[in-house]
Amino acid sequence: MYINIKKIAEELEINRSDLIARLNGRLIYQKALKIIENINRGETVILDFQGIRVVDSSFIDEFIINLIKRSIDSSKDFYIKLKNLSKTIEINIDSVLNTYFNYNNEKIAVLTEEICLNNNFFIGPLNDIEKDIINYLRVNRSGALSDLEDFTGLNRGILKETMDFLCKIKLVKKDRKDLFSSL
Amino acid sequence: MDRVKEESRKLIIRNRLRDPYSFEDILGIKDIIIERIKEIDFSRVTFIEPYSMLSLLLLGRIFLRSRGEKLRIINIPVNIHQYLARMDFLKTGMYDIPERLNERLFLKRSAFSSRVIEITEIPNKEVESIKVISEIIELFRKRARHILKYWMSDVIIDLFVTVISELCQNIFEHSLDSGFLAIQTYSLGRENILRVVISDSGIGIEKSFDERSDIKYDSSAKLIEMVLTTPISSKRKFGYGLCQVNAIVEKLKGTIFIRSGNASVTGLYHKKTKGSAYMFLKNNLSYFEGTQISITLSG
Repeated sequence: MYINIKKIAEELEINRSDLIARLNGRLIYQKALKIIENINRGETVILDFQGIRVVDSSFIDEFIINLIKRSIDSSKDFYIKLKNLSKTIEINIDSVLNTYFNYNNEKIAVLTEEICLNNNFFIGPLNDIEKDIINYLRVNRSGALSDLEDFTGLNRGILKETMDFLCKIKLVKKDRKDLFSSL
Repeated sequence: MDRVKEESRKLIIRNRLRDPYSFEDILGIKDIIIERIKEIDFSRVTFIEPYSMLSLLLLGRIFLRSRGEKLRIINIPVNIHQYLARMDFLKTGMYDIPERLNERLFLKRSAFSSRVIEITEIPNKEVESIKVISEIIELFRKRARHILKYWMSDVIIDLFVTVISELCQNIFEHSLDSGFLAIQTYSLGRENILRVVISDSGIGIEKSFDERSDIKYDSSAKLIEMVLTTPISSKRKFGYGLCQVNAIVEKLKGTIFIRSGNASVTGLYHKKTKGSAYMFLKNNLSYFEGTQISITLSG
């Protein structure tokens, strides 16, 4: 599923290239929730920021963080990916996600369509192993637990825990027992 | 009232409107101004920058609210009068300024001389405020190649849009009063200075944290430092705004000055080197209502 953020903003008469403030974040979040109401199980929502220059931390908190949390907590099994981020949007999202992790001790991250300033296809405070797994699955599309075991050198127990975590925060899909894929 | 007493109600302002630090001298006599002074004489003022201008504006507002009448400014040098008119200071109506500037002397407002964003009031109501902030950002984008002439890049424009947005929102979220913004790029000697100032005369940072008894701090300046470096909020579990602004100022190697109540914090990121102090805290300053923030890039 594809959501054009600028289009939603225009429908809400927020006709600007900068999306700021909690109020606007809340309005767009509500609109996005309506759009994804009938999403298919396991589907990925691509949030396209084409035409948007800046989103500030209040907007990120109300819209992006809440939508990511929704994807994690909701019984609806859906995933989120960001597209066409300006450098500043990326910097601001990264800053909010890192802050969230540092002071809430809860790790959340989000995948991106394009390569980011951190040379990865995600934004957020993932560790090196998690980063390697995300990159492996992005290149290979999918991988069995045994493949990932060989690739990471982790023992099965720790790897399983890591994969469960990446699935839980909706960065990786679990297709069937011990087989994982990228979004 | 005899002549001596009448004379003592006039105050000749010293040339202390050059930066946030020299303006402290004016704030040091704020109570005298509010209680006893009727008019201030600007004849010795040779320069005024945006932070001092907005602080002066707030002083006028506090005076008006406290005395029910406007403080008068007299003997304004022409160049200062021109600047105040160009920045729309006169339009705010906070002061009684009996002298009129000859229309021929008004500074032009061509698009190419737009290295400023004139004084703009940020309302303390969410919806109105967001509208005004969006308009400021739109104007900033239009004038960015003039304002950011010495620091120009698309990313820097966008980072400043973030700074403006975050700081202005703090006014309606926390101050319980309206505030003001002004931006200017100017030259001082060989140095080019960009100054973004956002100030209000609301409840201030410390009072806004009254209900967060879980947040411990040992001085007002320490609390200001905490809001700059830790994502605490007086309203919710987290507040990213000031941390985000601080991170951007650090990234751009600029300076941030925050004054609230009777304390201030200065972050000198252009002087930040390994092991050196770059954050300076001051307590026990003269009390001044609200929060005043100045962000400076120089080069």
